Amino acid sequence: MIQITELTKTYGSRKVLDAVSFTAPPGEVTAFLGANGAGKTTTMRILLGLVAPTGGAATINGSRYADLPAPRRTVGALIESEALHRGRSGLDHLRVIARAAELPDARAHETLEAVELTEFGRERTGGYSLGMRQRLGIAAALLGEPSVLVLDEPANGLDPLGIRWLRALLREMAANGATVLLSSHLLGEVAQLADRIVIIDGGRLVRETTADALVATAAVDVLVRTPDAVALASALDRRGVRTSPTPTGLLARATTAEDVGNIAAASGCVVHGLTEAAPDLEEMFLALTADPR
Amino acid sequence: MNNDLERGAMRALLLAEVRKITTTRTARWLLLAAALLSGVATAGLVLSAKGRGIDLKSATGMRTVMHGASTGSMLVLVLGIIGMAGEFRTGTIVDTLLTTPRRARVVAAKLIVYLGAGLLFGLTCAAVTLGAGAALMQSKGATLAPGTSAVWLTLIGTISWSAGYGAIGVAVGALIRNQAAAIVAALAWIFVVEQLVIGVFDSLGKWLPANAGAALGRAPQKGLLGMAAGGAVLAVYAAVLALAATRLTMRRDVT
Repeated sequence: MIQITELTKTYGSRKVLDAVSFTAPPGEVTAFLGANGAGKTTTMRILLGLVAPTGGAATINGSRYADLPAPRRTVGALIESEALHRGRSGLDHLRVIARAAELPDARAHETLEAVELTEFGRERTGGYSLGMRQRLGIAAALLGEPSVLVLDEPANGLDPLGIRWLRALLREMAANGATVLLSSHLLGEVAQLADRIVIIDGGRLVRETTADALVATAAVDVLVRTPDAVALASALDRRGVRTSPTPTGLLARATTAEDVGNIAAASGCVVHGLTEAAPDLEEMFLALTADPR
Repeated sequence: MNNDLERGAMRALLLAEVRKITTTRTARWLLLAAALLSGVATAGLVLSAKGRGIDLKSATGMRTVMHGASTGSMLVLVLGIIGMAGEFRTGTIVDTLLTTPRRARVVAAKLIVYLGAGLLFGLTCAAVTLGAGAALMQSKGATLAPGTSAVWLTLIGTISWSAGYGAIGVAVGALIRNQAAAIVAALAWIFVVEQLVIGVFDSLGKWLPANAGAALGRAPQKGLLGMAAGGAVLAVYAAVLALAATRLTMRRDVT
């Protein structure tokens, strides 16, 4: 369980986190969303003891990271995939961590295999692609067989196959009871994967909800088959719903089928069919994180 | 039980630091360069002795030649800086601190390991100087007498200086986290600042770290402290820098 409570961080007069609170429960994948610079990485760095908070607390299973008895065995973290010595091999990178964490060297081989990098393990990481470096970072996170995963933008640089592999891995870990917190700046990227969604913007919590609830409230485009297109369009227009004509009726923008149905009934328009398009999650995310200032 | 756990964790950390050094080529190249530098410096000292009016058969002559070992072991300072500041340059400090959130322990492990690396550099350079010095002095009609204090004491001094610089390098790298800036600052301090100070205020200059180190390494140079005093002053600098490095490392955010 990850618990973020009233977390605040200021650098000089600049407040990068403003009383952010949320939880990431075990057995679920929690997606931590925000635009670049929203405060995701700072939150994660505080959670991992790399940055000291100005106020509030961030705990893992009730303890601060620094107080965990064997942090690598409890928490697997990927915070900076570029953080590699380019002259060291991928295998040695993992062996160095394993040594310090008092884990057997065999774990370095096992995790390298788990991220499908075994054949490149003895090559220096300077020759790795972005995706390979990302996989190596994930391998390092998995070294201690942790029950909590904290991953900052883990899909960065992964190809579609890699992203599918990562999703399967995280889903499986959550199904086995792990707490998974991953950040992303793309809602679409995590919508299929996450159970819970936490959105921050400008250092403030915007929304903490389940993925299903978020999708359910997403405004969608509704295709309306109606012989009363003109009358319905003006009725919708009066209620602030934008429309455009189609050969069989009209397309109502950014609304819900319920709203269109209700407005049609209230205005006495005949409707033959209502079809909701898939929700545009990115549009919704941008709307949620739009700067109100 | 708790103490056993703590000891085990520290031992693991020390071995991890050794593994960091042995899994890249940096230390190997620096060690090779240090050995070469020592050899060249020693040869230069032997071959230029006559011109500088130094009698190679005298105790001063032998001490002068043996001090050549210190030339190469200066590179251990660079190694120490890279060992610490390099972690910030590459970002591997994140993985290091994720594994060991107790930052004081990380700094302590590095100080110990790089002290050891300094010892190894010092020993290698001493061996090169001893070999090259003996062979070249032979060609000049002088015989090196390893049993005399002029030889062994000087070599012990250069080896200790090297070990001290290994730890000081780590501290400097923690205080100045930009690796290039740290190396430039350290070398500029040794070769420019201290030389200027000792040139202008010679009574003050001998108390500065590099000159204290030179005294420990029994540099054939006037105006330095004695060997033991030089060693003590260098140890104090190392301790103060290590303490400052630990404090700062514990306090600073890793962003």
